[in-house]
Amino acid sequence: MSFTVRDLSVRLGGVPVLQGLDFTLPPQGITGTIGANGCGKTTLLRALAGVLPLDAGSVQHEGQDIAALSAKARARRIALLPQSGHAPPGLTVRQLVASGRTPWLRPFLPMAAADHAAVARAMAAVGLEDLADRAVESLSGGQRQRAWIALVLAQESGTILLDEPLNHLDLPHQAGLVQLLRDLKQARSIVMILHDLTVAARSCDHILALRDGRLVASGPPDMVLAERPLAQTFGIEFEVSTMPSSGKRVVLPEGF
Amino acid sequence: MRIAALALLTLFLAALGLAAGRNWLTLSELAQALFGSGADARMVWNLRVPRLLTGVIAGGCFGLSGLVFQSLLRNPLASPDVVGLSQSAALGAVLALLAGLPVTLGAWAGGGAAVLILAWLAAHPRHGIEPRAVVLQGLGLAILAGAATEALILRASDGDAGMVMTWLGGTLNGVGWPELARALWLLPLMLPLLLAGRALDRLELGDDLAHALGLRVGALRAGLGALAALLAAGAVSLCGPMAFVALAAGPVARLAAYGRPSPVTAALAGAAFITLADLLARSFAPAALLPTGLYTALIGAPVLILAVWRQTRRDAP
Repeated sequence: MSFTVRDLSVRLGGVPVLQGLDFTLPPQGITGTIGANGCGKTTLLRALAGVLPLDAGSVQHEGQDIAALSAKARARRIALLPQSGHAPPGLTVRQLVASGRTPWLRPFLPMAAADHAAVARAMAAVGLEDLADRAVESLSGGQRQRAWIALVLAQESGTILLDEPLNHLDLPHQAGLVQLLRDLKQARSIVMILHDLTVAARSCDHILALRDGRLVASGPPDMVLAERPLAQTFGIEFEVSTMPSSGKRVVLPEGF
Repeated sequence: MRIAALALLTLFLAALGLAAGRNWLTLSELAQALFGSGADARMVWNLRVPRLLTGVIAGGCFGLSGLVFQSLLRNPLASPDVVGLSQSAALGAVLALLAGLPVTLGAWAGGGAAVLILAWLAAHPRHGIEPRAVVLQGLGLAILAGAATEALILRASDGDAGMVMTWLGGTLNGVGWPELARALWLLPLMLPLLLAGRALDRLELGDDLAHALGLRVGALRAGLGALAALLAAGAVSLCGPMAFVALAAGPVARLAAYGRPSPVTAALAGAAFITLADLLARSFAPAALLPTGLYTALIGAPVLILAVWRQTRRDAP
């Protein structure tokens, strides 16, 4: 099991944001987290990453309570890419990606050969080797997003948490990134937040559906991305059908 | 490369600073004064050496403190002299001066109070400290502390008021070995910040990401911020609130270090800045005893205007 979450509750500034979440995620593959704005998806991701104090309950990663891990040990197991990545002006792609090596570095010592190799592998995995010495701010939106993905790849953790990685990307770049994540899932488990339910149906192996800080459903896409659980999650009706040509699932919200 | 050049510039300015003053020394006279005896040796060793070194340490403290605050708050304007820390430290120092208490303690109390007030005012229950709020509220705090200091001056005796006014302008006049001894106490506080470049670098990527990279974000922010506040207040207690040094050192250091928040570079930039300003203060109209802070303002104000100009250009759509 990558994550085992028991009775998880989180308050932010006294306001309950997550309440009594219980679920288990499969050891490999991509988990998609869905739900309306403000339902607690980002807070759940932060709780899984261990960057947030829990109000109650526990988060276990591969059988280990993450609250009991040191910050460094946790960072070697779990990587988190928050949604709003703002690179400081002038920062190059290579420098940004090298930040991912932080949990592996010894204090005050420079990167070792193995770290440089990991950075090079991460940049190659997202196809940014040729732009390594360009400033992040000078890249296109799709390239910039891939640079941030390379940062978490360089972290070489078994689990990667991504907050809306497909946001602000055009369709070809979305497809490219999903393909990249599907290649990655052979070796790692991925949990990501996404809004496009058809993309979720095609690319995810497991779905978590949240509403108002509570878990509506946790299970395989066939089960969760169906008309009844989706209506419970979003409060609007959906039409779910299967494409006759490919047998793939299409999710259409009503009301448009 | 650029960092080495900055270090060489600082050394060159320091050597020039020892030679400069009411009596300019030639290179051979300076060497004789440094390694020999006589009137020149007494002047150099009793006046110029402690003054120079105190200025270098104070400048280093201002520069480091400015960079750390700007980096922690991700805002090029968030230096201790803008967010009211220097002004509050000056208020505490003036209070201590008038009450006959140790100046450094007064400055630390004032600066510490400013940091605590700002952190308390700006802390957001859900997102932690809000950088924009710190800058704006700090601006208000700076005005408040400045007004309180002026009220103290108005009530002080003429002699005290004159002394305080000169000191508030930022001056190294009258600085000798006792002041240098006090300055040396700041060196161990500088060391952790000089080594904090990597941590600052990661914190600039955002708190959640830094946290997930294995940094202890809360402890780091509190520790780095507290040390930076102690350094800025300590430097104020040595030479007064030297205008613009902390504010300008950060951007200059970033230029020299290719955009990275390099603390060593910022300390060098601050040291070079004060050394240059004091050189000018002692070379132009030395009899007038103009405060060094006048010259840091003359050099620093254009740098401030440039920093704001660059930021607005960058933020524009």
